[in-house]
Amino acid sequence: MLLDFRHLGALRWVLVAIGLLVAGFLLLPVVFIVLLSFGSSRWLIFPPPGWTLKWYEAFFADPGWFAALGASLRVGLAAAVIAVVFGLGAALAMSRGRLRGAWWLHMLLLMPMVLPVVVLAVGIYSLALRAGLNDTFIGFVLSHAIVALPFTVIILVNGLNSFDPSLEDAAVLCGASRWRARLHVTFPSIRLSIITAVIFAFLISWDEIVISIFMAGPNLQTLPVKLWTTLRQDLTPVIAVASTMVLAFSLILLLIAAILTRRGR
Amino acid sequence: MTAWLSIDALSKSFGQSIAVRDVSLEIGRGEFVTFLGPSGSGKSTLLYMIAGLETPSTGDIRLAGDSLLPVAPNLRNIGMVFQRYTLIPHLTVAENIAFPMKMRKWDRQRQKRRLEEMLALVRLEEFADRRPNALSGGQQQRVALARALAYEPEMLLMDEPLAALDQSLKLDLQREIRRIHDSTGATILYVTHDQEEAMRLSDRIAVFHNGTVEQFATPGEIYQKPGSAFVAGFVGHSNLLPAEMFDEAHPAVALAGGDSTGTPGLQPGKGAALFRPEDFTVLRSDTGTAALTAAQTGTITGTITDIVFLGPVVEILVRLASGARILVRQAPDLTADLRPGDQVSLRILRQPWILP
Amino acid sequence: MQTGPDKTRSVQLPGPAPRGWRAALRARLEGATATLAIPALLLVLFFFLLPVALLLARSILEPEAGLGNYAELLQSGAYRTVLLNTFTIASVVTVVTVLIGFPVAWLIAVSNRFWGMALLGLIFISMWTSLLTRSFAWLILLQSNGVINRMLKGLGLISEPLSLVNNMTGVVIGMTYILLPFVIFPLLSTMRAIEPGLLRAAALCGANRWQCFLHVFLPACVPGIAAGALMVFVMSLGYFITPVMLGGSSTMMLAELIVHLVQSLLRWGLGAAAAFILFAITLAAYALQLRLFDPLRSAKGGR
Ligand SMILES: Nc1ncnc2c1ncn2[C@@H]1O[C@H](COP(=O)(O)OP(=O)(O)O)[C@@H](O)[C@H]1O
Ligand SMILES: [Mg+2]
Repeated sequence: MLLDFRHLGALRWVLVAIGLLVAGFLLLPVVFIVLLSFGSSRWLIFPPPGWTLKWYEAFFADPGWFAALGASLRVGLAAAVIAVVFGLGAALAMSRGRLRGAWWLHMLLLMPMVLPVVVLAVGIYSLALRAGLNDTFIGFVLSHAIVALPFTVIILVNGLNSFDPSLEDAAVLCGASRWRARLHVTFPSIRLSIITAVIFAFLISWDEIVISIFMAGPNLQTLPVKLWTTLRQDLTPVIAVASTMVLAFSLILLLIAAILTRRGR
Repeated sequence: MTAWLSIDALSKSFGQSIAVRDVSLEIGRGEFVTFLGPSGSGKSTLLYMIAGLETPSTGDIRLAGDSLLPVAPNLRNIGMVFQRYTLIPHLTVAENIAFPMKMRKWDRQRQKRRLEEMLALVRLEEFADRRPNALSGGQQQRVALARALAYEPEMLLMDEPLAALDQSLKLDLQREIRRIHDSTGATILYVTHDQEEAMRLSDRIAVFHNGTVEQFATPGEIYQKPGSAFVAGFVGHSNLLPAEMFDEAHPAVALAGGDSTGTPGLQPGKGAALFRPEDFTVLRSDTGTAALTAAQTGTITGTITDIVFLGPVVEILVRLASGARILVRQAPDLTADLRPGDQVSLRILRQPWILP
Repeated sequence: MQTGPDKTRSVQLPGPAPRGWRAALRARLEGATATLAIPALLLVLFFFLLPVALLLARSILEPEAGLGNYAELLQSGAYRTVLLNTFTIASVVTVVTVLIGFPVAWLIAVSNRFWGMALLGLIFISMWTSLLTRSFAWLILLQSNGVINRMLKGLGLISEPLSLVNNMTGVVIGMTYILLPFVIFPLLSTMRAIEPGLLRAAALCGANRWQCFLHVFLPACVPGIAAGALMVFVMSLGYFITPVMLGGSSTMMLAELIVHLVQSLLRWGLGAAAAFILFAITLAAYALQLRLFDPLRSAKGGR
């Protein structure tokens, strides 16, 4: 009845209308920012008087923006690798090992996700000031990894739980050592989860802004930090370009994740 | 048969619960032994301990005199087939069968030869290049069997390998497993909760109950001379009637209804007499009961409460005067004139087995 | 099968105890799956537990030992305004996201595969793309001479531009936009779990569409609504970027206050105390949610 589109009567058009409005609401800012980056108006007038690529030229000509882009990529990659490797270890321990406190460990590993990021940021900042981790690559990477870890743990535990441990046992009885069995059987079988975890861990680092604001310094700032600081001084169309870059990269990665998931089915 | 695999006072507990308690078994080389029991009775746990996938809490497992416990599972040289399909999904059938040979670094020629032998053994030559998910359940289990046998293990362990298959396929594969056992001479330890399967396949059956082995004997003995009421009830249907033996001079069992039946060679004492459903002939009380001489084998009288037609046999439920119920199986043509409510005599065809 | 059994045995079975450090190490690594959790645990220890503990310590030790910081936060008018703002905005955002999210989740639940996936994909994408850039877009869109105002003027709906940004309106629009997915997903999974037969049975009992909605459908959705609302409420309490960007000086929220205290005023004790209040509220809310739903335990089944 109420869960069947054809039987909803006039109500269905109300729902469709709301759906369209919300879809527009969700799409509008993204489309807008992309269009703006090609607009010729210095003052971000919309619709713009003309179209141009000069803001893109300005973006790539500015070593500051370019360095920030590079920093974001490096930090994201390193943070993703760490979050996935550590997460995989934890997931194996929780779903395979005979761990008594597995439930508590799981909860503890998910905690950084539920804590307001601003609290974590201030806490890490306080620690980093003492440990000299501010404005360092390793500081960025580890603080991003802690935010990504809960997500990689969720994805990898799911992956492992949907994979029958008897397969690994069978391989062991075939003569493979535990690690060889994991390498030959378990990891290939959950490779989709592993790749997905890498992508989402990277995306989390790529978009991370609150902790990064505290971590950043003259040596190292990621793209979102550079965006944030520029934004607060001056609203230039180059910001729209940087934003477009950030969005485009995220969209490409999401698309890859979607294709992989679909192929995995 | 001399002991080859000795399981010695083996126990396994998971926290508070004890899955296997103090099990000792001596298994000969080349034997086909089945662990039979209801689910949760510890069969798989014992098998996993033999495979090395679980560590015993106490006790020892010895193969030809040496303890297996310090040996890592991948070095035990044991083949195993699981209930669930455990083929490696991203490898083909041939690659799956060759996997253990690859792990053992056999040379290519030997691998190839053995692979062909194995494919022929399980009759899957034309499926060599398929992926597991393109095979039926029965085919997958046959590949798993080939993979487990490929490296000539000393022992083959199977944990309910046919439980997920449907009945007709099950029969086929049972025949195939039996054939493979006969042609390879492998020692096989087989877990099942299906008594018919156990009967069909095994040289000897170990009946499990609550983590202990209740009886370890040939299928014939298990059926005809069960060691406990549990075994009697789990394997086949059992009609147990309280029995009392008078003395050795008058070897007879007194049944609740007052009838007695001669049972030579029994020790005096109290016990329970086991009758299988096929141990009786049902006769209408009004037709020629007088002709029966109760003294020789005995009869029991009762009332039919239910008749179920099952095709090859008819099951008749009879209530005795004492209130006990007896299930009788008869050929259909012998029961055509019987109706629920009829008074009948059950003529006892065989001496009952007196449970210890 | 048993060709040369004794030969294979002597090859296959090493001595009772593996010897040499390599073998010992390998045995260690094989047996100790549980130790694989150690790197993750260390990371959580040093970059989560330690920072939080440090904050707690500073909140009660700086500038002097005691609960002075907490007292100041709860007594000073300015700080109380911030707390009030935070709760007001979080409440409004929660109500608005539920009101918008409910029909959207419903639409996805009833629409065919293609449209359902399309809408869901859109929502998923907005969950995983930069919050900063999307907030920035709203800043431009909502300006007094921005697209929205000019559109409304063009339609003749208004004569003077509405002030949509640098105030509470801007914050609510931006946060609703960002947090909408978090209410749609739990709602959708609740709706999908509803037995269609339940609604059919109600209809057969003579309930009309409205009664069906009120007495059967809506109550069945309550767990999803509660989960989504709680999630959005808790997340809004700690939001930083969007409120700073789209709000004004009078709409300062807790997160902004914390950053301000720590970064600009260097009043670590007070900032830490504010952070800890936020942490405590969040934890309480999630504990409540866990009590009510416990996704982890039920998802893991008997394992
Ligand atoms: N890994 C385990 N952890 C805790 N209990 C277990 C585990 N494996 C088996 N058990 C318990 O041990 C008992 C025997 O199980 P199992 O050997 O699987 O029985 P079977 O194979 O006869 O069905 C059961 O009660 C089961 O719950
Ligand atoms: Mg079992």
